[in-house]
Amino acid sequence: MSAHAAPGSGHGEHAPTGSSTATHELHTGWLGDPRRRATADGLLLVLAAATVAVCLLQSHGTARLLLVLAAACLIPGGALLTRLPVEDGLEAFGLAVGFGFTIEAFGALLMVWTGWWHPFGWAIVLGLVACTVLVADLRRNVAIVRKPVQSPASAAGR
Amino acid sequence: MNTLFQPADTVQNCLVPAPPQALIAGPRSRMLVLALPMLVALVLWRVSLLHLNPYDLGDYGLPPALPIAWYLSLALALVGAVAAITIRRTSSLIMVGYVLVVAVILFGTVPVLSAQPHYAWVYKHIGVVRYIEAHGTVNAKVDIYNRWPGFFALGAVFSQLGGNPNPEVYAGWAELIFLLLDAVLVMAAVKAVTREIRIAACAGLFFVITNWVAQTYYSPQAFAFVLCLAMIVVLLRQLRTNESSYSLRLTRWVERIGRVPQLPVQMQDTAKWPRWAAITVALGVDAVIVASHQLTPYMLLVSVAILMLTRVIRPWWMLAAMAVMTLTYLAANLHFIEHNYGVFTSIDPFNNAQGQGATLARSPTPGKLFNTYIELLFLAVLSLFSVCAVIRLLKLGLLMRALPFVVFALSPFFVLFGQNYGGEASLRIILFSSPWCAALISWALATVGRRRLRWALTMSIAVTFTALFVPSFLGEEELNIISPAEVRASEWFYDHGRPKSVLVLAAPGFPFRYGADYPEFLGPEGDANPNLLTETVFDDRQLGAAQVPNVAARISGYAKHGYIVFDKDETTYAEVFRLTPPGALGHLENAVAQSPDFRLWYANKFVQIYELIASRWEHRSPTTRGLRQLLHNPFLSSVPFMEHFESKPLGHRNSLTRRRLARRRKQAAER
Repeated sequence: MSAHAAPGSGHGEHAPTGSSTATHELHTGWLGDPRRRATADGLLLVLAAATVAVCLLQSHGTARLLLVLAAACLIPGGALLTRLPVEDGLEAFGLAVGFGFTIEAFGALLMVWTGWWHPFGWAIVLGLVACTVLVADLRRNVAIVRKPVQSPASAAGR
Repeated sequence: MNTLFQPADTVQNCLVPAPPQALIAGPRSRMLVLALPMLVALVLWRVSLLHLNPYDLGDYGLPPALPIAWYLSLALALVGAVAAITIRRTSSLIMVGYVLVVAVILFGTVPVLSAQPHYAWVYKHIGVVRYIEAHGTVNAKVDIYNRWPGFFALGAVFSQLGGNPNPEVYAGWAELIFLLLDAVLVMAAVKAVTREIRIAACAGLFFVITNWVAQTYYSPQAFAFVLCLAMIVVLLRQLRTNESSYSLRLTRWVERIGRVPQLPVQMQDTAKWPRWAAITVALGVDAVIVASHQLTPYMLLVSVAILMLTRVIRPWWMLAAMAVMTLTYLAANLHFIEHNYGVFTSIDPFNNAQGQGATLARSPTPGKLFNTYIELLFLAVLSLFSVCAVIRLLKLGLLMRALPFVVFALSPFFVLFGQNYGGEASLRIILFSSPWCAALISWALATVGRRRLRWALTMSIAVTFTALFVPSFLGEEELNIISPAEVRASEWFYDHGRPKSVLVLAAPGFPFRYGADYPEFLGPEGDANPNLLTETVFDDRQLGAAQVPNVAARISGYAKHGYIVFDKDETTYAEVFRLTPPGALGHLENAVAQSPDFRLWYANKFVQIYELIASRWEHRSPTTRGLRQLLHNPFLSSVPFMEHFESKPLGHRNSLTRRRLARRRKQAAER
């Protein structure tokens, strides 16, 4: 599903036209460029790890609050966006937050309507699923980055 | 440069996207020079607030108390933002950064000054979140918030994960965070249509400095608005029709009016999702909005319906799915809404729009009159600029391209044909309309060919909006900022107050329904607390011992046991809006203190709570006739935010009281 064209190279700059097949493959998915996607995946996984660590070490405090906020805003939505290509960082950030809120609110609504109130359980399940998706996307992007990319000229010559 | 920054003839002849060099700043030193004023502005802003006391403000609110350094930091950020947007070699990161810094300066000032969230009515939202945390569920019989619990349930989850069971710790910053998210999403939506980051950044800037209506605080509206904007981004990026024009009939009509051919619509075929994925995501977001806020789904429904009619987005059946979700949820709560609020207030749009203008009828103090006039002027200026922008785009043949913004800007006005939304309809319309007015203005500015003229026009408009924004948004902070003493008093009441008693406010301004057990206390149904000034016997007259029996009667109208709270902000509120003569509430408090029927129950620096102890004040419910008199007090209904404190006196009895009355009637019948 990730093979949808996204020629924008991010932040509003217009990419040069006339991409080859190889470049076309590179410009798919979150932010177009696999390096950038791998970086974003890695940062989100680091954020998830830091949030879990701080939550285990600190019962409350500003650091925990900020990390939980950042993780809640970005991780579930970011995981969803690994499967949906976006044009640039601005759109990626906004949609990640919007989708993250949506997914979390769904769970929260189910909990309050059923009376089965387990916010930590819900967070763990959601976090695990999101991190699994992010790890899979990271592996895929790292593999693409490591694979030698054929230049457009050689591709045309063949 | 992008075509939309060129004069009209160039626009029509050159539709090729800009080369990549257009937005690249060049050497890093140049980036640093561009970013430096932004950093200086942030530091200057933070330093300027170090010695400001927010609890002793005058009639004009916060603006006169703010130091020169604060205004300098704002000016620096504003000039930097306009420069970053209009200069030839710039960077999207710098532009977006400046927009966010302007937002931080304007919306971060109050949270920096006061650890407690401002606006007394925020605390009832905190109370609902605490209730869900304590009980792990919602009770639909309690109030409307328990029936639309999306925001509160998510807030409760977040509080628990964050290790702060009381959202008061962070709720003050919610206004800034929601606004930053809104600004980012507005920019993304504008860029989806215009394909130009400069227009998007300018729209984001104008959205921030025109959003004076204070609707992004810790509330379901702010949450639903973020989701609404996210859904709009999906609609505009993924579900627009792949045709060169929207409605042909509308295009011909627009061309006839403008006498200019309209340019074909620029479709962006990049980063497309599978259609089913886009529709699923949009409907999923809409489902959460439906369960989180009462008004936002209808705003969206009207906008999407018009976008479908004008062939901007497809498929049709998505509108049907949205309507089914929205109306089904309403149907499930229809009885409650009809009983307590009314589904339709009036079909008269002028009546429903009354809000700011009605305040003038009360002749408040000069500061509040000034604020009200500035707010009305702001509305007029924003409308005028938006109309000018539409005319400019029409004459350049760009209006059909900008059609989604025109639709989103106009569709909120349809609400006026059915609801006044507790007197807040006009505020909500401004909230939903302002991002798209900002988009139209910024797009029109981007078509000005001469760079210096474009800079001058953008700067003039930005300065005008900011000059109007500061008194409009910060001009009532003497009423809105809540002191720690008031929050502690409220917490004490909900921790130690007698269950099934009532807390009556002397006037609006005290944080109420703050505790997790707020449903244990009696009062009007809905989201309000009773206050004395909704009763004519207390209104606009000197108060004293003669009114003490009325105070006791007011309490016993709701419960056998009760409390009356006198608070600094209540006194300020009553005097600022001339609800009482100067000193009247002080005299009443003295009389209550000396009365044998009351005893001082709690006191701190700003708050005194008295408990009604007399047994002779037998519990009796207010008669319908008396309540109708309260409801139709013409002065009180015109006072801003009064609806937060007593929104619907006719449905005053909450479920506990109703059940008790029913039991008494049954016992009497049996006897």
